Amino acid sequence: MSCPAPEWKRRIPFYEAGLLEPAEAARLECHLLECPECSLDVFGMQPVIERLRERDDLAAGRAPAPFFQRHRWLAAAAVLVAAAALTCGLYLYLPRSLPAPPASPSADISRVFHEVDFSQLRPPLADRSPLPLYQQALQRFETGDCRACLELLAPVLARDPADPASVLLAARCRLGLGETAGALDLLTRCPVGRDAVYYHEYLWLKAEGLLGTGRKAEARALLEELAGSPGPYQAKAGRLLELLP
Amino acid sequence: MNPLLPSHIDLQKLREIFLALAKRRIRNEHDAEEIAQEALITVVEKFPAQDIQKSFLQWAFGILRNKIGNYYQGRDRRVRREQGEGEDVLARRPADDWDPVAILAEQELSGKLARCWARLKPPCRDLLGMLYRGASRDEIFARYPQYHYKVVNTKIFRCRNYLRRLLRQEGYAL
Repeated sequence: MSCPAPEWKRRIPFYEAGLLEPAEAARLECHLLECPECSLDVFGMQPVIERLRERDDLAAGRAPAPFFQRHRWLAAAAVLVAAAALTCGLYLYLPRSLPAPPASPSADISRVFHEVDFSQLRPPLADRSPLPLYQQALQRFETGDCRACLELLAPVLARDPADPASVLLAARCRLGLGETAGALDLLTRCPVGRDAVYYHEYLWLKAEGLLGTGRKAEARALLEELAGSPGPYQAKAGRLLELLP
Repeated sequence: MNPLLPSHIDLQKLREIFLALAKRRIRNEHDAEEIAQEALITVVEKFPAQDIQKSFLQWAFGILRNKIGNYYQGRDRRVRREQGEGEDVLARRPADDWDPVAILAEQELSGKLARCWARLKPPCRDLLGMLYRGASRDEIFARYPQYHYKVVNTKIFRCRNYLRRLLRQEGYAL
């Protein structure tokens, strides 16, 4: 025996609870009179519902649900806000509270490159060229204004592109500006001879350019040459070789 | 015939349904017919005994259920008289006899219902609790704003059926 109109069967719970409109209830009763299965369902559940209505714990069913249960989207939003606040808090707090992470090899390499003691250079930068533009550019370089230094060196290099003092200073400026490829290009176009007094400085700057462009093997060869030659770059080159992976 | 009976109620069909229900509860067909007839007469005479505009049949089924209960109580009294007071009536009932007294016994049903209610999942308890404690449909639907009302209807239907299934497992014959 099965109900021929299951859509009415689904309304039985509301009928039992007295929640159907009179017209709808009347239509359902017409169905019940013709469907023994549904009638038996209602008939059998009647005492159950009466007992249920007598139960005290059913009152809990009438109490409104907790706020966040009724508004789940609010709960989700609250969780998101809490997560964002936690992330911001961690971001702001952790750098102060946690010890600094160990320096990466690349950071160490960068630090070693910037520890160059210009006073030990042969000859000192100021003595390398008597040109007024070079001297002005050097002043700019020493104040950290690499861009202005490059602008002042431009006419000097245009007149004498192979002037080693200007090339090395321009390369330093480009490396200082992060233009590693430009510096390397400049140093490659204007090589300094092995017997020149600037040769070690040239190797050092080129090694920095090669490392910056990822050519570690070539940089290692230059640094090994530097580490084997006495001079202001020998110790630094040795340290760099230890740091290189 | 009571002219105040709801217009959609066909007494002949009501009688057939009463008889079908009574036969499910009373093994003796003659007794079942008698009980169904008695219940039908009571319905016609007493209507409208109370505000039953929304669920006439529930009220009518209640009358039939009372009649069936009275029938078994009377039979038990007869057995007691014949066997003597204080004896265990249920134990004396023939083994092949269907046991509607146990089904209708209030305490037994309450105990079974308590066990089944505890086995229901909390959302089901919540829904059925709201439904049978008189919450309006709007209140029920407002409780679950994330669901379409048809989904809530389906959930209620399934929860009720699950409760029926649990009761049947407990031995309550619906």
